[in-house]
Amino acid sequence: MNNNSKYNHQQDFADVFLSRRDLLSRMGNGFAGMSLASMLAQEAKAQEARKAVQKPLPAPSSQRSGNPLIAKAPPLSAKAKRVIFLFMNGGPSHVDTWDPKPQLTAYAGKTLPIANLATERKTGVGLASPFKFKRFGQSGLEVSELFEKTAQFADEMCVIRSMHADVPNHEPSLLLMNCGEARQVRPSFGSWTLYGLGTENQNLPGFIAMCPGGYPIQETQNWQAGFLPGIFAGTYIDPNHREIEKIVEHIRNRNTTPKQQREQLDVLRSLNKTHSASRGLDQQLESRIQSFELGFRMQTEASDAFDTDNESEATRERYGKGNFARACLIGRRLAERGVRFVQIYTGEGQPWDLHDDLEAGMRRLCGEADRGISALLQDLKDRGMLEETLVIWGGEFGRTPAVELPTPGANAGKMNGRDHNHWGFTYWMAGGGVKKGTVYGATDEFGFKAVEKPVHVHDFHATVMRLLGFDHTQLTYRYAGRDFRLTDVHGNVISDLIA
Amino acid sequence: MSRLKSRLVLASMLALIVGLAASTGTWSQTPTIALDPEKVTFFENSVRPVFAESCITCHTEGNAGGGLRLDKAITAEQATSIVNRIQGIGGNRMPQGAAPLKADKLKALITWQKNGAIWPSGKPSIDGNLWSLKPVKLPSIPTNVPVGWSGSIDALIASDFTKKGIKPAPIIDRATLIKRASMTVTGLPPTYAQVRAFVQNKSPKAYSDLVDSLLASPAFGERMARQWMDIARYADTKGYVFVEDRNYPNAYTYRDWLINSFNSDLPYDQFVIQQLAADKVVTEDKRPLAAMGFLTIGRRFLNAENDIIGDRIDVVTRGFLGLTVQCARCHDHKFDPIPTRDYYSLYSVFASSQEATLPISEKSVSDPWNAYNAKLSALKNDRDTSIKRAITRLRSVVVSSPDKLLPKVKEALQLTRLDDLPSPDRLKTMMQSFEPEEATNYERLLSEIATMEKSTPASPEFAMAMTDKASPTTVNVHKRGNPGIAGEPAPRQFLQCIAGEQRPEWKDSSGRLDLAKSIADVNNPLTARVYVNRIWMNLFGKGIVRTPSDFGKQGEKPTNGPLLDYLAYTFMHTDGWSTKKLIKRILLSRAFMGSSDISPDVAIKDPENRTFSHQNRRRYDMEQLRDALLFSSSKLATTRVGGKSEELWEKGYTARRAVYGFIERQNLPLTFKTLDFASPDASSPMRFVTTVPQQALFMMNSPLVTDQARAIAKAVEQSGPSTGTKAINAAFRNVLGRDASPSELHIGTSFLSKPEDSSDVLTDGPWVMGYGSISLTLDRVTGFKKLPTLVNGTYQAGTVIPDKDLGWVLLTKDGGHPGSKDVMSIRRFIAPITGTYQIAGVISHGNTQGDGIVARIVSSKKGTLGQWTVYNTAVTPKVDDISLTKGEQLDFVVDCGVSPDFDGYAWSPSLKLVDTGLPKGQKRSWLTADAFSDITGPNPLTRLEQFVHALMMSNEFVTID
Repeated sequence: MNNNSKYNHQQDFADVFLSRRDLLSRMGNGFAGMSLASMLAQEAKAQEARKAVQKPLPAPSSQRSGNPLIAKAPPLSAKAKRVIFLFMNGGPSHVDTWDPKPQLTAYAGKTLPIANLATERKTGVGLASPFKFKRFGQSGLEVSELFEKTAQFADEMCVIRSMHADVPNHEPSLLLMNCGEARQVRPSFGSWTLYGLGTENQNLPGFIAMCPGGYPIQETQNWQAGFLPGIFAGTYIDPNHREIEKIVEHIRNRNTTPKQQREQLDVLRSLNKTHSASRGLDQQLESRIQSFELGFRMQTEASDAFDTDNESEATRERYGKGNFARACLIGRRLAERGVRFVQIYTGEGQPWDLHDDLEAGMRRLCGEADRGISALLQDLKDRGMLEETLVIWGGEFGRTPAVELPTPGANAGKMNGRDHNHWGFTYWMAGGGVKKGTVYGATDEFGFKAVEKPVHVHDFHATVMRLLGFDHTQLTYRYAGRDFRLTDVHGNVISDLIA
Repeated sequence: MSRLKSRLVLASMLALIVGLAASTGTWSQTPTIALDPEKVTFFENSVRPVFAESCITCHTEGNAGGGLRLDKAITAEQATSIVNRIQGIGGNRMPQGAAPLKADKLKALITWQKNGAIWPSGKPSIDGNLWSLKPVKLPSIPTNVPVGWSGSIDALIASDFTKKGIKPAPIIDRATLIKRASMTVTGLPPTYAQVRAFVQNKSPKAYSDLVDSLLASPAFGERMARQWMDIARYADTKGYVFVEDRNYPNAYTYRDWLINSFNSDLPYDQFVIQQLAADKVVTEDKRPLAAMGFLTIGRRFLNAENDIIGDRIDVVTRGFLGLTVQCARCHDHKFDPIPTRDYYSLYSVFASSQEATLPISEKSVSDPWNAYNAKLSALKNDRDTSIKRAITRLRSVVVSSPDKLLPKVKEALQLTRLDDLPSPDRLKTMMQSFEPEEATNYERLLSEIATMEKSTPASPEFAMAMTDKASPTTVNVHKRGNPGIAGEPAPRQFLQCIAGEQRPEWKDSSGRLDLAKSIADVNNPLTARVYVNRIWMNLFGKGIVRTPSDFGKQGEKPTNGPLLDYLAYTFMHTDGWSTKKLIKRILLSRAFMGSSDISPDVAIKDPENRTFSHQNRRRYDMEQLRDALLFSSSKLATTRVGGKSEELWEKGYTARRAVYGFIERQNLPLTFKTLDFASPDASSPMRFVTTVPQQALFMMNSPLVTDQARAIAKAVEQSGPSTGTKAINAAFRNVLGRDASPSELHIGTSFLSKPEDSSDVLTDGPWVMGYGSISLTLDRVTGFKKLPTLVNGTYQAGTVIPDKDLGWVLLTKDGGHPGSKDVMSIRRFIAPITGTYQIAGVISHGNTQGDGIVARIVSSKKGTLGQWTVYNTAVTPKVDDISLTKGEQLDFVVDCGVSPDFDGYAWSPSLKLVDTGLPKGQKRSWLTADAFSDITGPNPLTRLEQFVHALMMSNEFVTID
């Protein structure tokens, strides 16, 4: 075995999660007693010591259950324990929200003095932002009126105004942002996180992706596990639904009373005990017995997390109406319960894809988003959770400062929207050990292209992995002949983003 | 549609500009001596990236600051100088004008420099050093082996474990053996009768006969096919597509071909050839064309050809050869002797081929179908042409005399792209301005098409095949995987590491057949080794090579090389590539029959069982589990073999084997993932094994499992009493294929004799559905009893309505019906906490017949709070908010009035706590519907059903010892 990477795992999970020590305890019939046990322990120690030379990090004891979702500590010190990724699918305009461009107003209706970069469609003259910008907080972060509630947290935020991606199309950009690769099947960012950290609450999925009304473009691939085991995939939830079964499959017992199910599991336990007795201790069999106890508990504990009716009227009012807002509230409840990675999309399809009617669209989308996100940040802060929760805001790209020209068959006749823009856009993070009250990098004077300290999506991933306690080059998984990682062969950690 | 087009055009344009993936450096072409792989890895992981990040911009071709280039190998002196300069020694500190390198990066460079500053070359050494590239030779069979281990396979294994001082596990009992053999060979468990017959069969040929019958069973092909489908990344859909149909409606014909190939024991060399180039070898029987589904059922990657071909190269090379050729897409393979040019040689092969949906049915079916289609498509073509012609004319009218056209028509023209057909709505608008003959012609065509479509001939089956393009192409190497940077030409030919430098070019065709033959060549060292290892893994749970799709340097070496070679050699040279003979050889070995219990000695000396001194205990995979569940209830449909894909999990799930499951690649349903199914995204060498509570939940609560438990319990009851030894044994026989032991009988008897749970079926909810009457003297509800039966969301007295004693009484989540005079329907609310409650909900009765109903709200402490007679109307009951103490009952009572006829009503009361200052997280409102959200299904499980269900959840049921 060429185990060159620190956190590399083998593909054979039975071997990984069934440690050597567990195998040692898988003994045949008729062997027992202290002397043997201590002999085994000693031998095991020696073996572990020998093995440690090749394998710097033996699987922690928690992994030995065969359950790869058990919580693990990251190898590097980190503040962020969990992620809430607010994904503005469709590509939100940065020049109307977090990246003010007075020069764009000056050039409204005029040809920009820079060449329009190639984007998905043809663009024309400068389109000034119809929204007012104002400074917020001690840091004086300039934010548009659209996010004035969220901007109250300016001093908690680290705003990256120099993001850039590879192409101006939704599908590849969504995959790049979520999985670090535009076309081929790779594990999503959340799956990598789950693989590296496990999750704190075994009664809930560790990675939950919410998108009101249906899927975003590229569908479940946005939270796919790729070549990692399927159990690391994000669990999709439509927050429009309220039934727990849409959330955790088979969570409802429709067959017996809880008391009877308990009795049933007790008889199961007796049967399994008889079975194991003639087979010696076998950790795999034992783990499976335990999994039924976990499942039984999950039934009662999981439902509560998604029931926002248990929140006070005032709280619900603060988040506002609408399913994105409700998803934010659920997101907070999930974070409270130790779900490792929550991703919240704005809605089905590509809501932020405002090729036309930008102003009305932005007011509508930001109205709901601003209220929900600010309430979420407030709650996290009030509960002392913000420090260890990494909140990320952004889409697959931004939008052009130049107006999109009408295309027959698309936005015919209208000239009041912006095209996709992967050359420059904004992301912000809050909590989780980011450098607070910071603006990093800049686009050109019109907001077209990231020119100052550009941050590629890979760099962003590398940085977020570091915030979670990983060296992005070291969290790898061997598949098809090589060690893969979220950033593939790319990515630089931007230390200026980290407190 | 237009959106999609621009999207795709741009995507492919950008792919050209941006490239697919860039490596961190280019490769020097100087050959070097073979390098220590660990040092190479260290260099690639910790050194080259530093150069790429911090140095390369100023030290590369065309910009070689100080004469140093880091895009190619450097000398030891240069390496020393680099390390010095980074520390500011001997000149300006590097990287100049940037932050100093971080300590860990500097440390890495120093380590690298001290260890000889190796610079791995891009030119791999084609030195045959890779174990798997050495020729397959028949090993000599050791003779000094323990008794019973003299067979060739056994002797090779025994000499290994003897060397390590390991004692082999004893032979297992016959009942375990038949389950093991059946589950691994056919994927189905033996029945109780089969187990008994085998245990009692004293013939020396009994086991050999069993193996023969398992291999002859059609279930064998189904099991084998499913395992190959993992390798072939089988799915019934394309993956992500924007608007087009995402199904692969013909994918199943590939599966049918697989099943048939295994069942007819198609020699493996032919198995390879047909999957790559059946179009070149088919004769009268066209069915082998379906074999090429192997190439074509991958993801579509938004139709990016580079990725589609990449996926095909991957499935072919990892699948057949255990080589990770796709690693050489952007640069020469870093570990194995695969230059980038080899990747593009194969690329040229697939770029010279095209997909083709070809009929595989007999001529009598396909000829009429073809004629029909030719005619139909000609008609459709005429129709489209006629529309386009008319539109072109209209467009010219817009220019010449725009006033002649209605504004609506002009708008429709404006909104329709030049080359596109208009949408049906727009066409309708435009037709207002069609000339009469244009319209007539169009309508005639439409009606002819409609007539033809009414009488479709029987459809033949189709293969997702490939054929050669008219003229084959040779692509150039895409440097760094970037199609925009052309490297040397990569002619169509086989891999250098196998075929040698002087290998022929495949000039006349795509080369698919040549590729197939090169793979299926007895001198190819990999093909047989890779395949026999897969078969071994399926039979033992672990391969001889533990990385079954990677026989390169990054993979593992065989735990027993001679054993692997023996199997590969005999497979090719003795058994003529026969899969059945190979499996029989292995199944008849002593090693296969070993116990899966591990002695402490083995646990220390060989915890991973690399010697195969014992068998490996395994849990059922997803298909074995599902098949066994349906098999135990005798519901599994096993007579028909082959056919289209069907739903596995949702209501109305198929009774067919799991191999026939519909695989939605893009949004694979959760159950597949929970049960460790192989991802259909790419070739999958083996299944993961995880143990998570979601799997337990599936066993506990999924209808698929409980349906089978009910069916088995029913069969048990039909054959005898539902309690006692006989019932328990019958359950054991069905589920576990054996009788219960005395201790199990004890466990079973005591469980079955437990009384049915009398507690509320609801999970601690406050609602109880029942009936009773009202004592007018006491002003209280009396004689309240629960409605015991729940059928399709309705609580009722028995399975039949009206009940012979209680009449029509029933309650649903929306309302109900009272019974006879003294049988009132009563919806009872038991206050979960003390507080003030607000009551809401409208009562309605919608029938002019009968005399309506009388509705009351009655408190167990305060008596009747209100009373309303409702007859063909709706009433909103007005009651004050009421204080209830915890446990106090509030009854929503409906009485039939004088006549119990036509008394169906709607009343779905809800309660809400109005107190302030309640604890955070306190539930505040209760809807009647709450009582129905938990249980909408059929009746709760009986004790016997629960017991059968427990047996199905047991470890034994899902384990192969």
